Amino acid sequence: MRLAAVAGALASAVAATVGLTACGGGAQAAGPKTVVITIHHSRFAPSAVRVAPGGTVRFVVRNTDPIDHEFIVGDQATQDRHEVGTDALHREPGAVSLAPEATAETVYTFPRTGTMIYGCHLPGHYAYGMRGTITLTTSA
Amino acid sequence: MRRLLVFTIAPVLVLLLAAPAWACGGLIGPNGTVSLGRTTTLAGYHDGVEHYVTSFTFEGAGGAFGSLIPLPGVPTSVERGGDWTLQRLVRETRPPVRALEASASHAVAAPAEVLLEKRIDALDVTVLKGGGASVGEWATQNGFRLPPDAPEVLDFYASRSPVFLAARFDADAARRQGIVQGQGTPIHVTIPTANPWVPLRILALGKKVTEPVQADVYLLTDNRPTLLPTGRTGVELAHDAAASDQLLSDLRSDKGMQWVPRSMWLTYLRLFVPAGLLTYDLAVDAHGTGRPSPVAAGLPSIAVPHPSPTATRTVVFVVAVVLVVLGVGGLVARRTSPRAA
Repeated sequence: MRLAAVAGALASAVAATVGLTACGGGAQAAGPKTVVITIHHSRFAPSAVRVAPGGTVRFVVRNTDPIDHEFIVGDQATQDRHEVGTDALHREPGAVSLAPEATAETVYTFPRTGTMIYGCHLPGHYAYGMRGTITLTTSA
Repeated sequence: MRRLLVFTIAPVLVLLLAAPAWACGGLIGPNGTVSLGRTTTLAGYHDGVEHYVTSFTFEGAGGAFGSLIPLPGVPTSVERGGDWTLQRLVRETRPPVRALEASASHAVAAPAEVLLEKRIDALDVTVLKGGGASVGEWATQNGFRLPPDAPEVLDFYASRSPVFLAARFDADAARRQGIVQGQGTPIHVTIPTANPWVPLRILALGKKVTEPVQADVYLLTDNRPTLLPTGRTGVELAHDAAASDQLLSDLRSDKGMQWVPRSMWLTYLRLFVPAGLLTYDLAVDAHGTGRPSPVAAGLPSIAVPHPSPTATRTVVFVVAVVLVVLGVGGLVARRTSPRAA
């Protein structure tokens, strides 16, 4: 179980690196690149990714926990809004709700500038550390 | 004849309005909030059987709350406990305090195996066997939102023992049954096991890292026990002496407590630690080997057990003997060796 989680996290990291690096390059393939994010023990893995400014990314989020989680991409203002929000389910671009041990995906097109974050805003989860950073960089 | 009696009595720090009951376990409310304050639990060990007694006290709020308690093995019975045992132990070491308890909850999980179900007053008690994920899913499916640290904590316990007790407290049912506010419902779980231990980390479930956890842990053993971990910040040895005949007699007179033998050693540990530092359980060596299990304590296997007073005395004695032998040997050598010119 733990081995699988670790393997999943490693796969996520590799996928994140490969997918996001491709986003920043000149040889863009058709369609958005894919980044796999794994949730284990209420943590995101990887907890930091790099994205090309203006790039579009398809996030595949795997929840290995037995509890609900969310994956919401946005700037700090977006995170703050969701932290006090009451929406039970998210389906808008860059946001997805995950049932226990479920996998879901969402597509998000990033701005050219700014600091982006992904987080979970179920009660207590963001404060517990369920957040990751997205760096917008041309070197991605 | 190995005897061990363990109590956990955690004083209430803050009694939230929504907390209808308490026990020794992680308290989980319907909205994921946790309001575990004071807990009272006894885990006794005698002749290879652990007797685990905890109490849930109705505090008047509505709805259903739950508590998850990791167990060292599969219980052979879950019964209503005696009303006197926990109170008597508290009185032995400190003045009477007002009893407030937390409630029960369910865990959700995929294929957790339900081993036993029992209704005790307003408590629905379920014994589960499964991994952390399956127990967590079972709880979720039964309507309780686990706090974000639950997956890690459940795995922490499931990696050592896949058995959990989920106690669900139905406050509305308590009212219908005429259970008055402040009235406790003790449960007595009998668990054959070779390695008793006291789950402590579960007390921090859902708490903020800086939020303090308080617990009183009582041990009753045939001999002076060896514990792990000890000497940590927030773990204070508050009592360490032979149990009085009166205490043992009083305990023996309560329901289901006839197994208490005629002589035991009473140890009392007071726990006061930030939740973020409570990453361990209490392992107890009641077998006289002086080596409590680091695994049972949830510590890395390389951890060195804290030596028992008996073991310390043995080491001191051996060192003293060696020194005496060396001293005598040195004297003999000096008397028999030729003096330097």
